[in-house]
Amino acid sequence: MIEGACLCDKIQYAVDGDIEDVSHCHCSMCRRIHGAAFATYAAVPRENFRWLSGSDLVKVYRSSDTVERTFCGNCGSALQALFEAEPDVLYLALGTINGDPKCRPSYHIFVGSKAPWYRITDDLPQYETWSDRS
Amino acid sequence: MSSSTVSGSCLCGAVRFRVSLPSLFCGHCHCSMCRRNHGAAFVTWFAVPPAQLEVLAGRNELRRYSSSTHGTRSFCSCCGSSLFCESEKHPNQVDIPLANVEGPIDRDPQFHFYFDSRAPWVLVSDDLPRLGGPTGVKPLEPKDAIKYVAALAVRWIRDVMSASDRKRT
Repeated sequence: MIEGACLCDKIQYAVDGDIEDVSHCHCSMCRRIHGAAFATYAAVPRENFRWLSGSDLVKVYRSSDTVERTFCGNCGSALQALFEAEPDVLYLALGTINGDPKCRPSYHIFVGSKAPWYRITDDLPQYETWSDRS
Repeated sequence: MSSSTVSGSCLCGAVRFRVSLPSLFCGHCHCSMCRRNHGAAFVTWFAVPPAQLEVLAGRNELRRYSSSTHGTRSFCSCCGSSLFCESEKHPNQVDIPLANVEGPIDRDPQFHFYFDSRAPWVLVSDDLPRLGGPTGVKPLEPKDAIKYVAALAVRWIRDVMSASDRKRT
């Protein structure tokens, strides 16, 4: 079981099973809400995820018509991204996971929107859109 | 180079701010607190003296969280965007995520700090100096020390030239 928490530790969560699909998102929304060069998300079946504590502190922001993002109302830690088009999956901010989840990022997405001051130097595949992956 | 300003905001736009340049430094922080608070692999910060940051809107939406005995992190309570970081250990600077400003500032990221605290799932293969240790800014290898000193020297020269330009104009 994989566990994680926000910075203030009031919100803790657990994920059953392994995390497999991890990617770096360079879209402008992720960069701005995470305050980072890119966001790193792990795709997790929603049924495998549960809050262990602090669920009453989880705040939701609707960043677009079809995307919601959750964060801790006490410390501001970014937690998840949830897409209406993928009701069975949630995207977990990998930075909040405890220890080494053993999974590794496997691609970059929305690289066309990447920060101009950040150069991707690894060999992972880079995709402009989700459809480019297929 | 003359002084200039850059604008910034959180994702939802409730918090808007303006930063006057020149900046003090810019780098990628791999410390566990930044990674967890921002939910990211690392956070790219730039720093300015506090007087050079002006919050234009959203003071009521800006929440401050005491992340340590000396540190305070501010975020937007509407969208959760993690914004400013301040420390009593460094009272003459406020750190701002480079991702939250529009347009370039006066420098690119110059180094990695707290690099030895980095997430196990992060791949870093650029040639920026890698700093770490208890303070987060100790060169980890001799080559990092050389690169770090070189980066500081270049920055010092640029700052001197900028100051000279400002005196002439």
